Amino acid sequence: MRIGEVVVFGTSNIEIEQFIEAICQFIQQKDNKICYANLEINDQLILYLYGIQYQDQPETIAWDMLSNKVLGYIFIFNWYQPESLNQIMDLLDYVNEKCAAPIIFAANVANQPSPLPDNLFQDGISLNFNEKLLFCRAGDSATCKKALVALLDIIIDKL
Amino acid sequence: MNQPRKIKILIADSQPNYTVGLRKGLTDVGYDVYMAEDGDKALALVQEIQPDVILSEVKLPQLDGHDLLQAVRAQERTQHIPFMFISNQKRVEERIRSISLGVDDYIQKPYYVDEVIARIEMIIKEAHQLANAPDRGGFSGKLSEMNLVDLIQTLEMGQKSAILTLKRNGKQGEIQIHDGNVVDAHYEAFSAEEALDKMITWTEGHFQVKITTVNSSKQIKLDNKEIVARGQKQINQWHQLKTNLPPLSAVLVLSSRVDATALGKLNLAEKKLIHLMDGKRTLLDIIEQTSLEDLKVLEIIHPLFQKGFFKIKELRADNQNNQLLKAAKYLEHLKTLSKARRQAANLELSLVSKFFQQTQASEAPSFADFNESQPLQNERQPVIPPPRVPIGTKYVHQIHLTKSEIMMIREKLV
Repeated sequence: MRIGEVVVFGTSNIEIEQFIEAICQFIQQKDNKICYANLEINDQLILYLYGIQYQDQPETIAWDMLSNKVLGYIFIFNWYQPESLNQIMDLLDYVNEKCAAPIIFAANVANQPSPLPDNLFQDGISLNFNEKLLFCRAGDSATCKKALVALLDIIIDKL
Repeated sequence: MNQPRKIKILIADSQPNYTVGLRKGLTDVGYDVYMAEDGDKALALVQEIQPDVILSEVKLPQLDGHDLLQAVRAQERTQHIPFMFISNQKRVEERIRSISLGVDDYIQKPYYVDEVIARIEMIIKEAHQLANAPDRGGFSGKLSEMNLVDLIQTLEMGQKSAILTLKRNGKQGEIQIHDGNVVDAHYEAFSAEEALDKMITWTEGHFQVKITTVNSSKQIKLDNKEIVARGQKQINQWHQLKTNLPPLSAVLVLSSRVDATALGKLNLAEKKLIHLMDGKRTLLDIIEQTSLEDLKVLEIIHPLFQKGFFKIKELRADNQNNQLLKAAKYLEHLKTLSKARRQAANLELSLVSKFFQQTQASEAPSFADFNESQPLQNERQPVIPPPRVPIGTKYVHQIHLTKSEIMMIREKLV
């Protein structure tokens, strides 16, 4: 079995779980720090999604295990909560120190109206070759999958 | 002359033969190495010798590696001991458990002895630095990371006496704690429970804890348990309400669509708040300029926002690090550019990447790829040893799936 792994970081467990459930239907395992779900692609290939909530001490995560196989990271934050992004930034610095991989910033607007014109909301904005900012509605399958697809597109471009 | 104390390493592995090379390597560099072939013996040795580092296989007879880690972390005498797993976990449940339990390091089998030694050296150095950190008689931080309830619980656990200062938006309050119990609080004209209620939901601003003697008599009638329970309830409600409201840094203004009839139907408290929405004050200013509790203000404002009584005039930077505001402003700028221009505007885009403080990949040693498709019986066959990767060093990102496999995942999603 071949396995790809994607890590979803965020400040809210609910937001992270909604995002992952929108892609994988249900969370298979969770505790207070981490949740896990998978998406079977075919009988030889499977995608693991780990959801990890922001922690004051990110070093308590076993980074060896994550960085070994991770395809990329999705950082989900609440677009309307500045502190949510600020916390994510702290974690981003730490992640970049450990293993710089493609990153999607998924700005969750939940049920609020779109903060941007439709085209920008849909397409997102490339920040550089390795990062993209996309808007999503956690729990909404279409926008969450789009964020994951954007991550895969960055990876495909690198291969 | 006293000899320096030798570093003690405990290795817990049910297959001692497999650790021969590691034991020799560690002994050669001057460590005292202790062995335990099951979890119970390892725990007994931990109590007896107080090792400096514990290396453990996850799969152990009796107490397994995870239980051993929890037992070590559960005791005050041993909770500081760095703990490393050396294992070859295949099952996802095991991997998740190891990740979430918070081991100090994890080394995949088969390993390279030099790599393990390098990691142990680094972990000992880090532990030493931590142990020698100066005690400043207190600590400080952001309320977004540790709110008042968290602070009260922390000080209660340590039964500390301290003065807690909270600062938000240029205003500050003080909470006095004696032997872990909250005894008094002051904020503006408020004191005791009222002051506590005003500050309990703060998630913006900073705190400072000064460990000191507190002689105040108990003015707050509630005990810590009641304060924490009440505080948590209020914080949950605060977060729920805030999710559906503009950011606290948003300047609010009365909506032009609201007519006098609708305004006339509002009650007094609602009218007072609406009056403050003058296009100059932020939501946080409004909260602070009323005598009501923060939560109560949000409860009143929430339906008004839902009904469209007011709108956001602008977002205001509440501090220099308001990254979201910078992002929003930049996005506004991007909207004015055509797609082609955006693509060409590399220089401008690099500003955004600076905003995200991206650290560019630097030259770093590569790490051996974990090959999931490798048959189980081959797990312990000799492999080319990976280069040493000290802790704290960046791992080079390697995509171990093929392009067609990534494409297959993509196909499944669209």
